[in-house]
Amino acid sequence: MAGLAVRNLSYRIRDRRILSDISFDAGAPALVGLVGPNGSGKTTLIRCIDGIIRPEGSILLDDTDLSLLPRMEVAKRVAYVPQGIRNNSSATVFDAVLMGRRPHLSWSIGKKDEEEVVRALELLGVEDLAFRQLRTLSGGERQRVMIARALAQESPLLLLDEPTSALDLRNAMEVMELIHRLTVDEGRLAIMAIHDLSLAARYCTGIIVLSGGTIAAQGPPADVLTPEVIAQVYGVDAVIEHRGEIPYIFPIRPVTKA
Amino acid sequence: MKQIALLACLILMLIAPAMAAETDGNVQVGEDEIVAMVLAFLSGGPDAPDLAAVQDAAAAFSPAARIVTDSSGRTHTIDATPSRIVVMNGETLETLRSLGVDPSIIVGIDKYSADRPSFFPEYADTPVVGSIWSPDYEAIVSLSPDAVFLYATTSKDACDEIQNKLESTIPGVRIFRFDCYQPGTYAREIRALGAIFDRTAEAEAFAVFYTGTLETIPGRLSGVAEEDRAVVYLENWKDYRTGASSSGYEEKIRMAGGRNAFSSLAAEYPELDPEAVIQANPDVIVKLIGAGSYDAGGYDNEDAEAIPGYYTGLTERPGWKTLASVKNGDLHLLHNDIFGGPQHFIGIAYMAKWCYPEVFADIDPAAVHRVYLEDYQHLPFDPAEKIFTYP
Amino acid sequence: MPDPDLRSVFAAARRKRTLFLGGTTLVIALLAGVAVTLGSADLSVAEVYLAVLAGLFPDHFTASDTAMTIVWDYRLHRVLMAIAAGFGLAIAGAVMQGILRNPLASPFTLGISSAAATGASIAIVLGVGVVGGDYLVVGNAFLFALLAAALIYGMARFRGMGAESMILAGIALMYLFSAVTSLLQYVGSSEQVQEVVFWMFGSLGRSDWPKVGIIAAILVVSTLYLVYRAWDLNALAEGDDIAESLGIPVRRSMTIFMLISSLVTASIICFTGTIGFIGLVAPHITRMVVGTDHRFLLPASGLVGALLLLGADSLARTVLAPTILPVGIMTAFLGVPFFIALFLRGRGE
Repeated sequence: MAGLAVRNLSYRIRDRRILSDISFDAGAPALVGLVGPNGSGKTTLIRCIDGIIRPEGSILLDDTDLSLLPRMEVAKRVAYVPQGIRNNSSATVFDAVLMGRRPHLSWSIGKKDEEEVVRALELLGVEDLAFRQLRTLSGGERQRVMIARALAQESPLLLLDEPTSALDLRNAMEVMELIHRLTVDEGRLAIMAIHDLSLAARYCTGIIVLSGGTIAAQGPPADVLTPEVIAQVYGVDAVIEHRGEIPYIFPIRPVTKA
Repeated sequence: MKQIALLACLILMLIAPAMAAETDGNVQVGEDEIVAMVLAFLSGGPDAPDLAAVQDAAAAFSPAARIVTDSSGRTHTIDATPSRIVVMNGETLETLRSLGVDPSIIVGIDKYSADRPSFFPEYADTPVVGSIWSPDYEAIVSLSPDAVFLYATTSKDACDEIQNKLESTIPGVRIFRFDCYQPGTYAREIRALGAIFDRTAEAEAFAVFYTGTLETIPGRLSGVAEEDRAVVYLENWKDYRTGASSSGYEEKIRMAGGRNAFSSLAAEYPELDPEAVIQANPDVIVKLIGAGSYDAGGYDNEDAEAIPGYYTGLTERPGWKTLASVKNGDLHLLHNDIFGGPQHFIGIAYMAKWCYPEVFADIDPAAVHRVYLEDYQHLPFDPAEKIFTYP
Repeated sequence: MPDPDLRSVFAAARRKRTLFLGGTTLVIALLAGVAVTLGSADLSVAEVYLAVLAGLFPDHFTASDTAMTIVWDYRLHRVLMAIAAGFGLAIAGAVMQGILRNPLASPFTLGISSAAATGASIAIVLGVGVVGGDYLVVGNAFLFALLAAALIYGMARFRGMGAESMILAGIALMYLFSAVTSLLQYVGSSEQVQEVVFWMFGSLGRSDWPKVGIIAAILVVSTLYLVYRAWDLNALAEGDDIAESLGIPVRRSMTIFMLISSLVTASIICFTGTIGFIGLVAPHITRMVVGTDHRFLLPASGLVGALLLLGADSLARTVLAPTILPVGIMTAFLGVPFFIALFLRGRGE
């Protein structure tokens, strides 16, 4: 079971501090929601963990410091589903998911690679689209394909950047159900940047609230997504209501300066 | 007959070296002697020399190898006159005719010469080998030439490329570089070509004719100071395009005894501001015709009726009626056929006459033209039937 | 358990690819066989092939001197040059389209060809260049092509521009270099202008065996390397972040790929002049049949490019015989129906 330990992570561009002193733990099975206002550093944090940018501090995955590993080794351990997907790619779904096998591939495709791709496609329910071109798919279908690619990478840690932002009501729900199942039910560890607080509250096992590059709060959703935290971090007065077990966060009005 | 004899001579010369080792090589045999001997041998009879004697003579026969420098500075050693030549510029083709070179040895011509069947009637059936800018290499190679003639200074890069290509693919071919239209080098080129084709006498005669026409001009003007020379504005068929100091136009104006009105401009062939002409008010204006929108007259004699219209068109340019040259009748049209190519000496003669009518009153450029066409080019035209100058 | 349907589709795709590669190679061989017999010299087909055999097996075959000269000194290397140049331009185009993630990328639209023309013009009109003598024009064209590539790459990487912006930058460079070339033409003599224009038409007439050898050597090395790194190209074609997260060093890879494709392009067009459309059209056509996996897309595009250029040159030599049209004019004409077809196809989407 994977365990991620981030200690004192900071990132700076020239003189601007984007992230300061981030520390947290996460262990599979878990779906950790990373929330915060625009510009709070969510995407940057994800890119740091993935090794796309190199921060100060340590990132330990199962006691291996990711910042010391060569990129290809990091790719075997961390899979990334970025925000926004190129929509004019003429690659087929199969080829796109196959790309996820890159860290494991030699020049030719082996049986195992094919099997992993098919498995990922089936898990995401898109095996019928296997030879369609990416650009002919709908937004929801494309998002599933991107997740399938990350799965094909067979990595212990999954990073997702706003997977539901561009999706409609139903697709967003279905994708969240899917991610929840892949992580909580099937034992994976995923960290997901998300800005829909209701979805975060409903599906995540843990929440990290980022504000201005630092962690404002972290913990289980019920403890963290409170009106006080929301007012402090977002500057919005909100109300939390429950319909059965499902929490809903309603923004009421922006906080007026005293 | 003489050719057959020479051929037999050459064949014998192949056998001769074997004999030569045993022969005393002190005796020198001249060309006429050996020809006589071979003819006698071939016709038989009681006085005919036997084969051994003819072979001895052949061994002793050494025609002087001719050394010729072409216009790119390369020297060629010529022991045998080229017998299958490809000529890629019409100027050289025309000059060869002035030397009386046998047309049958020319096995390939360029397409621009082929487009002038009225001027080159004897080459109407000669194969065409493209042009300097797009040479038909396969056609050239198929003709198995032993010599190819290209420009020396014009299109130098294109000609260099053709030269490299042919020299590396046709073994033994000679590439000769001659321009045959530049006043500075033409006389020398005439003589060089004469040496190549063993027609030195004809070359000398033609060269004398050519230089003679041109040399009268500076001769008669020796007393005229620089600042008294006629100022000439020479306009190309492109309106308001003239030549400056580095151009061929300037050179030819000088040779006609005049001064180029726009010598000092920067580019080689600048385009003028029309006002500059009014300001310069030259003594003589010469407008070149024969291409572009002034394509009339000349050897092709097309659209000859349009020529007076060109003249009036010029006089009607704004301000031109006030120009001295227009008022005095010193505006002339000159066809490029007698200015740009090997016949430039005729055009220069006309210009000299226009600049200094009294000094050159006795010179008749039309007569010079007639002599050129009759005696050297052997063409049946009478220049008076075509329009080369106007008025 | 892998779905049997999926596997059969996969296998079918693989078969299609192999067939396409084999088929194009065959057509190229046939076309080459025809192309060698084209020309203004009056040689029969039998004479031509006899000359080819005589050159390869001099102990067993003999042919006339004229035939040998025509075939070995004029035709054969021209045919091979068409194949090599077409192959190279197509591969370069495919790589550029991959790393820039834009199917309209090509040496032409990125201004690399225009830069080469500027270099050639400077050599022709001003007589200035890096390498003197016979290689003045070639050296300048090569250098300026690489300069344009460096400028585009620099603008793209260090300003963080996206693919669309890079195309815009490329078009801007194209206009810039075209403007400089025009200025040089204005200043030059009419002879120099003619020479520049002829250079820009693009022609295989200046080919010779050493040039074919140089280009072939560069192609072999580049193609092998590019196919070996094809997976990285596949990933880069999807996006920088994705490529990065898959473990590919994006900046370094893009530099190398850009360098190689520019090198291949520059080394071809410095000898042949600007030949357009091959780098644009060949990868497009190939992608429709073979897919986007660069392991196959690259060599297949190369073959299609070779075929297109050889076909264009053969047409150029025969359509107005005995005049030989510059091949660049023919490829420009061939590009028109291609774009019309593309436009009509696109309307359905």
